[in-house]
Amino acid sequence: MKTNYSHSNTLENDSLSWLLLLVSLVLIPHVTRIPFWISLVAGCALLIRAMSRIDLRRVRARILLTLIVMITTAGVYFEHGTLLGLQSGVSLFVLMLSFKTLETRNLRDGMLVTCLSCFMLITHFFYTQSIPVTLYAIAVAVIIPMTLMQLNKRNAALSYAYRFRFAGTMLLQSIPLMLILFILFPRLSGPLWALPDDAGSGITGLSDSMSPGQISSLTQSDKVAFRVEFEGEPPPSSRRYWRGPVLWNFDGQTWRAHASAPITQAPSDIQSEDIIRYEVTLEPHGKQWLFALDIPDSIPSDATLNGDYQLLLNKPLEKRIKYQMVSNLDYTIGRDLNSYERHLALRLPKRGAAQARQLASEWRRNANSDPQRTIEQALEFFSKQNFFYTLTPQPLGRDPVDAFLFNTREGFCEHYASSFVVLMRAAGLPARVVTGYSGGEWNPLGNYMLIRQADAHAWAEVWLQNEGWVRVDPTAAVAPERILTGISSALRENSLLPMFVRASHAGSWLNRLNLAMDNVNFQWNAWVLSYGPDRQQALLSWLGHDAAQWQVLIVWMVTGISAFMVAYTLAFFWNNRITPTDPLVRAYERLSNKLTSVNLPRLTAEGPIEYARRIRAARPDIGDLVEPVLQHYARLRYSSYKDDKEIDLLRRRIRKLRIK
Amino acid sequence: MRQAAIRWLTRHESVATSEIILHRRRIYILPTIFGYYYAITLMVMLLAAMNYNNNMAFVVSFLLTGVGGIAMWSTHRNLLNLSISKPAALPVFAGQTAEFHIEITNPTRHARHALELVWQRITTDCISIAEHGSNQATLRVSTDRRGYLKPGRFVLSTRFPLGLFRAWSWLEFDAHIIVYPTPEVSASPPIFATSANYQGETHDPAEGCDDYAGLREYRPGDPPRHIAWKTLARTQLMSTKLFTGESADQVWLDFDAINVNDTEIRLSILCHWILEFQAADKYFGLRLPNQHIPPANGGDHTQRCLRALALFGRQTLEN
Repeated sequence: MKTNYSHSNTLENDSLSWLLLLVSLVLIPHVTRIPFWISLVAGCALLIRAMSRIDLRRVRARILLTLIVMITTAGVYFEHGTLLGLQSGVSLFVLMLSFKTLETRNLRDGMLVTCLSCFMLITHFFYTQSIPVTLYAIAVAVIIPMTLMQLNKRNAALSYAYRFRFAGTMLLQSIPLMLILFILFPRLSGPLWALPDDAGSGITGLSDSMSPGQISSLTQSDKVAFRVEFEGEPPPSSRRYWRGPVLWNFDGQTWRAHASAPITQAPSDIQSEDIIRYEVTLEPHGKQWLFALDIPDSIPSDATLNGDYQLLLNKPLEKRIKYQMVSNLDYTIGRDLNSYERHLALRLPKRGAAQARQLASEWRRNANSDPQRTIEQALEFFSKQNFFYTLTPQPLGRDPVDAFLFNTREGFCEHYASSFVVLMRAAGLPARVVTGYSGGEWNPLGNYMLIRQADAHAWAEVWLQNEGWVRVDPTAAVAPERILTGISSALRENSLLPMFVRASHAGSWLNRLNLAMDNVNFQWNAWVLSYGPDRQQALLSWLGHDAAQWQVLIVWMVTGISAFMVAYTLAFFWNNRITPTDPLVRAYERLSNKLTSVNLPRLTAEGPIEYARRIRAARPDIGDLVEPVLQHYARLRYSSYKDDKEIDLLRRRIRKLRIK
Repeated sequence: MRQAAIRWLTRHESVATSEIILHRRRIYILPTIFGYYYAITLMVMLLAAMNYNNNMAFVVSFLLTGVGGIAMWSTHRNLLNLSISKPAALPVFAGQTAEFHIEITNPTRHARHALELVWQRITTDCISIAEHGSNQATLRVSTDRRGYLKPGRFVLSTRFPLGLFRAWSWLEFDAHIIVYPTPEVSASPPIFATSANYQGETHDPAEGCDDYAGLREYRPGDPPRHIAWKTLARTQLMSTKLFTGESADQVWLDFDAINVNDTEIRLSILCHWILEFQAADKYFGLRLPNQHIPPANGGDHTQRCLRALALFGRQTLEN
């Protein structure tokens, strides 16, 4: 007899189905992130558990499982080269959780699998914290209490609707608690232990080198690079050069940043008054640089400005960051070029580009050593000769500069910038390549500028006596539209661009929808994801604490939780109070309560009809409303046969009754 | 130690004579082992969220923390304000399981699920109760000896909904049943030799059914065919016709006629024969050293005899 109810029960089939559903739901988003064979093995394990009743108490099955665990662990090691770090950790966790379901037999195993699934649920956020993933995780978070209910309901028969309502209510009720903890739980500014090396993997963006084809491949990504909110009017597209890495060293194929870019001047030799103030929200790119309009006139905290006028963060950017900037669009920089910098800015590889060197020295002679004339001739060369601006240039071979300038004449901005700087250096003018982004799309919904990876760009800077470093964009000579309106209008092969960057989509509903979605993401980042220690400090100073410390946060947090608990407990006992079993009595009490609120309480020994009469006498205006309801009640009260539908009807009438 | 702790905790809860209403102060709650699993999982999640400074990981960790907290209230609610009736059970023979039926009423607007009745750490029943409904649960108590049986303190507990907490209430009612001796077979009935030992006994005249011997007041259990219907119609009083049975039918089962020294075995043998005679619808009386029950038949008579056996030598309820 007793075994029916004892607790060491094996799981029912229903409970197993719920567990497998939960495990599948927490694993599915990882399929795109882990090696395919791991997804396959995990899927097979779940399928086998779902379809068969294998008994792992049998020794042979246990040995087999141990073997499989060892082999797959080795597989993970070979796949990722390590067993540590985020990627291999997630791979291993996926495997172990799916294997655990194979030996899940009793309640204890079921509870354990549920707990592991809870942890698995948050691992998705280490890849992305986007809105869809968050919504998905919250949907799965409803399944977790439902699974626990299934495991612990014993013999109770519960409908799915009841379970869903119960679990949903629990989740809704825990939202205030979650908000209190989210806002007030003391946040640390750094990690507790070193982040695994691959924590920020899979990020696209500029690199500190440039070789042909590198930027044009970036152009095929519509990922957001950063977003900018301007104070006042944004500058026109032709003046929106977002400065990134500056490249000095050329080996004939690839441009690289100079290893030790000298940190010399503060932005004090910037002279003019054309000031732009704005705020940048930069997506993580795994590198140290920050982007700012040419030329930055302020330095955000945690950052430095190097001699190339490039902003550098103290450490690689693994998280989205927001910083205030001031830029000066009309500037003079680097008026004094020291000999070392001059040497760097004139250096060319020993071999290659013979034709280019020849052409450059020709220009130099024509220009009578007037640098302006030399530059003009070069730009003329690009615009007069039959140069093509294209994403898919022909391969250039071993001498890319000459091949590009004199044979193919098809190239993307990096080709133009690179060959232009080579020509300038050959003509004796110090020059360098600057990479970054140019342009950007205005999002009218959120009033910010959206700069995508597709807006990546490369241009040149030439050093002139008395003027310093002057920006020259050879791409503008070939495809002025690129600079004036953006990349989509400059390219003929629109189809190679990411969908939302193409010219044909400008102004279409699809593009508007995309901008709207990007705005939602932007607000999400700005208000939710960026919440951290800084905002907590701001909150505390708003609450009136000067030197905010984590102890203060703890005090506020405990206060908040206590307040919630008191409120919840009061509501709880009210909600669970004893009410009359007879639904008719409950309905009548409700009606009397409503009437009591207008000062017409029911007297102790008063029947409904008499009560109605008294109400009519006291308040003729509501008599017509109340009397039929009271008569309805009396009819039900004193009839021997009580119809549930009739009682329901009365309840609804009472609920709808509005008495003032 | 444990018992002392329970006694101290329940010192304000008197043994109930009628129903018990589970006021919040009667309900105790502690996390289950799975509650601790869950808490550890949440802590690990929180550490991961802190290390990666990952806001959505914080959100989900805190949300599930909230769910765990709400689960505590929900488990508490599953017992709150239930009304538990005094357990009632039919007598059993020693060695059988006594089934105490307990009516549990839910006077609130929330259904209750997976309520477990636990007696001496064994879950004996598990029920659900609809909102504003009631349900019967059975407390199964094993018996090993005759006499009075009090189920003593038992537990109504629940882990619903999430199994992270266990709420319970100790219940003790002033309820008891009588446990009859275990029937034990013997070769022949221990019959009292009528002719030899009849003098000097102060018992009621033997009641049989052969020759009419007069009327007496009706007692519950008297066979309907012996009711004096004519007298009833005339006097409005229920009376039973008495008959003087023949001596062959007037069997007395005798404690002293059993050739065994052990009292318990004697009672068991008597118990067996009472059941046998009852099954055969015979008239029989019972002679115990301290009590004589005159011959009769029917359910009530049998119960009276069995009760006498059960309580033989047992003085009070406390025994």
